[in-house]
Amino acid sequence: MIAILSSLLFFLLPIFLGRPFMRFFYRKELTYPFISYFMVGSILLYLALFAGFALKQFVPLFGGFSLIQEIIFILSFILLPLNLIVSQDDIDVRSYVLPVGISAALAGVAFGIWQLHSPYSLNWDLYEHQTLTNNILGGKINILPSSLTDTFGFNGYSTLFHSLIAASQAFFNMSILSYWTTISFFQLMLAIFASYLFTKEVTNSKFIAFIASLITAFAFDSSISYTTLFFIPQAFTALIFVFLCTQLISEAKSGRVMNTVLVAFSSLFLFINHYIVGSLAAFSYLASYFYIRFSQVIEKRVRTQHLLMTGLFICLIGIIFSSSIPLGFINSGEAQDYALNLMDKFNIMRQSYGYLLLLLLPLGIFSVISSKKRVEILALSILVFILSIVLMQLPYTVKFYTLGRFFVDAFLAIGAYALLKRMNVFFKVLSVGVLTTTLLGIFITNTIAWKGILRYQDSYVQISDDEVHAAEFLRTTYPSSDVFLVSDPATQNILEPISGVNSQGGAYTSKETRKILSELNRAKDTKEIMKDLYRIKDKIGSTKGKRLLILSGRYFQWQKSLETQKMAFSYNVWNPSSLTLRDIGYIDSLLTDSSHFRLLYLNKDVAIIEATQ
Amino acid sequence: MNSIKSFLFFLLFTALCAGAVFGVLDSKHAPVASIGPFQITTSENGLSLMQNNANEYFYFSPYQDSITYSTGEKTGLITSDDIKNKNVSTYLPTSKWDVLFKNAENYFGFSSPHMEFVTDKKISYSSEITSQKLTVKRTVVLKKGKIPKGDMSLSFNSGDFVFDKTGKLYSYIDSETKDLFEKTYRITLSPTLEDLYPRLSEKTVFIYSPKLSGVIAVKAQKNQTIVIDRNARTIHVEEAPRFINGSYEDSITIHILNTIKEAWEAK
Repeated sequence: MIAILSSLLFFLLPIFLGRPFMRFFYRKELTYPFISYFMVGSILLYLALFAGFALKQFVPLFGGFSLIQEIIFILSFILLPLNLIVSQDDIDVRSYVLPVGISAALAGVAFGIWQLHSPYSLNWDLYEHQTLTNNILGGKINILPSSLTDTFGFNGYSTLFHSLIAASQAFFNMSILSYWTTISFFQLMLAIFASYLFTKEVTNSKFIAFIASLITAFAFDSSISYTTLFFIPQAFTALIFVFLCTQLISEAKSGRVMNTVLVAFSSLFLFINHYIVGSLAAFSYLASYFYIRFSQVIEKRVRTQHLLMTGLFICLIGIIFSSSIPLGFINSGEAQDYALNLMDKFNIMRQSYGYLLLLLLPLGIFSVISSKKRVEILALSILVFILSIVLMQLPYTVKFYTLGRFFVDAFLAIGAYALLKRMNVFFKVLSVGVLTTTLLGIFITNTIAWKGILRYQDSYVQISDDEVHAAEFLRTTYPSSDVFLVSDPATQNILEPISGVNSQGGAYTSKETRKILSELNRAKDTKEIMKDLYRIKDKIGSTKGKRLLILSGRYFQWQKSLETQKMAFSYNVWNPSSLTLRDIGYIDSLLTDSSHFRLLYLNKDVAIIEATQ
Repeated sequence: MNSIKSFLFFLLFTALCAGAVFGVLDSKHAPVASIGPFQITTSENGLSLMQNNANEYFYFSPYQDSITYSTGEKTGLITSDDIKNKNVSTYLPTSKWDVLFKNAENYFGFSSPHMEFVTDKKISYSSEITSQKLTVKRTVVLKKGKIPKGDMSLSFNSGDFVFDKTGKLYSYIDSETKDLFEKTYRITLSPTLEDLYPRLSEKTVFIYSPKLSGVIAVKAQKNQTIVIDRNARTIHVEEAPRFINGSYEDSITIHILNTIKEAWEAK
């Protein structure tokens, strides 16, 4: 229950902070105003955090509360009551009941299938994001993630996303893992709802919109983009993007021109949430805005078909020749692992959609070209543009699919409708049943294939109950203590955010640290192990404190891996592993040096040893 | 609207959807069912017990089982001639629909792994799991002959501890690992090296791998006898098979225990 309240606060708090502020400064009518309220409220909260941090250096605010709690108190005190004073939004709430209800139901089914036999969230990235969030909860703030924790070596986004998470967690004492599972459900529900609204605005058809929402619910882009089921900055940015596009189209259809300042602000919001995905989102959003705003001028000078064909030609050239651009060196060479060719991308498509994309997308595109409706042609242009970039044979381009998938789902729905509209009601209903069964079959197969590697006893998990208990032991034994956690990257990654005990880089521990960790395995005696442990240093915080050596089943599995695997960011022991007799033998040999090594905690999966110099 | 036209478009739409499903990539992982820290899965050799993604397998397989005919002739369930003449068919699902359907069935817990082989006999292995107890049943359908005696087996791996409740050790273990086991679990093991095929009077034998967690306990039922083949690394459960509805039925009962302590203290 607490996790539900906390997750809802992520979305609702910025809305109710932003609403009175925006209603005061922006008096014009606006469709889907909640998205603008959310962005404004988020930025207000974020700026207030920085202001509070600066002010606190000189003036103590309330005693006994953390910085973020104080900021929320102040903002809420000022802004929340104003929601009752400002004029009400002109929203027909009843018209949203059915779509929201259907979105929740579809999300429930999809999420239930996804989380079956998985008691914890399967989002591996949650651990690094929670580590960053913990720093904000602890009173620190910086726009660069790498300045708050060395888990982030690359600043791909600001800390706005994490500030909002921190704001939603600040007043609750709850299981972090429950929070992330719950908020992932809301992410999925909002993605389905966004797909419905977007398709409805593009096609003016609730039925086509419903089909699009079915597709969004059960087509999970399970490689690199992860839009619907992983609550991560790029997916969050995509959600904002599709709501903004929906608003833009709706305003254009109502004959209103959106305020340029609001459009610029929205574009900036997209950018700061994810610099790479957000840049493309902002560019697409701005291009759409300018096209809508100046469409009459543009169409006088250039024929839309010529523009489209030219764009298509450029995209095709880009796809064909992009493989010869060497960008694998990016992000310390990790980019090479994400430089996928067309066959790889074809297989990713098959994993998520089967052949549905190949069969229905051409139908949808043909329908739109035949209809010549301006809004649909605009949506098609954005689809072609984003898909072209996704298909380019450059590193990380599949990430952009997170933006494109809402357009793909809309066009798949249009393609399906091209056939459905030729049926009577009876066969239409049957066909929706057939489509639902198809999508469920693809989704279940996709889920089984993705989760297979995570088998641990009777579950599919990235963290075991025993590992959670070990983290909780650390949290209660070492609250705010100067101790330093050392283990394999995966164990560090999962223990650090739940325990609050710092490690060097979590899953993204540096190459120097990986070399030292690997050398631990070859150490001749306990003196050498001790020396190695204290050579490991955090890149940001102090590391004068005791070392806690975490010997987990994962750690021993990692030590048995190839040296090249140990040095790679992309390699991890993804699922838990229990300690074996051989592992226990190693632990026992370490403990013979009782003057330096002391066993603090032991369960089936984890041993925690205090190493004192 | 014209019903025939609607029906034709419905057929077209259904065909497109069926084609779409055909494109999805199925899981590279075989269906599994869990029993405690272990899982049971199918393979071309039969059924196997395994743990997570570790490369240690314990097989139930016709390639290591034998039967004794009423003539007194003892033979492998699948003979070298069967293999040489390619007279062995296995029934792993091959069609796309079969694979997808079976994977889904398994994911939702509606089926347990099972496997079939056809030579001049029809041999099938099925699994039934209740809590941490696994019963693997083997049925054999003969074209002719009778089997008054059969044995089902479970293989183990080099370096595994195979021992009974009296502390007799039936597998080859190096002294360092044996000492570590005894020190960790405070159980003294006595190697029994005099017999390559010890026939146990005990009704329970344990298999414990130093590379895995958990313990496999093979429990002989009332009319069963455990025989260990030390060199082939197999544990055989001998019994007179039950003849039911034209097929001979044997079974092995396995209990999975989470720790050595639990195994040692269990009745």
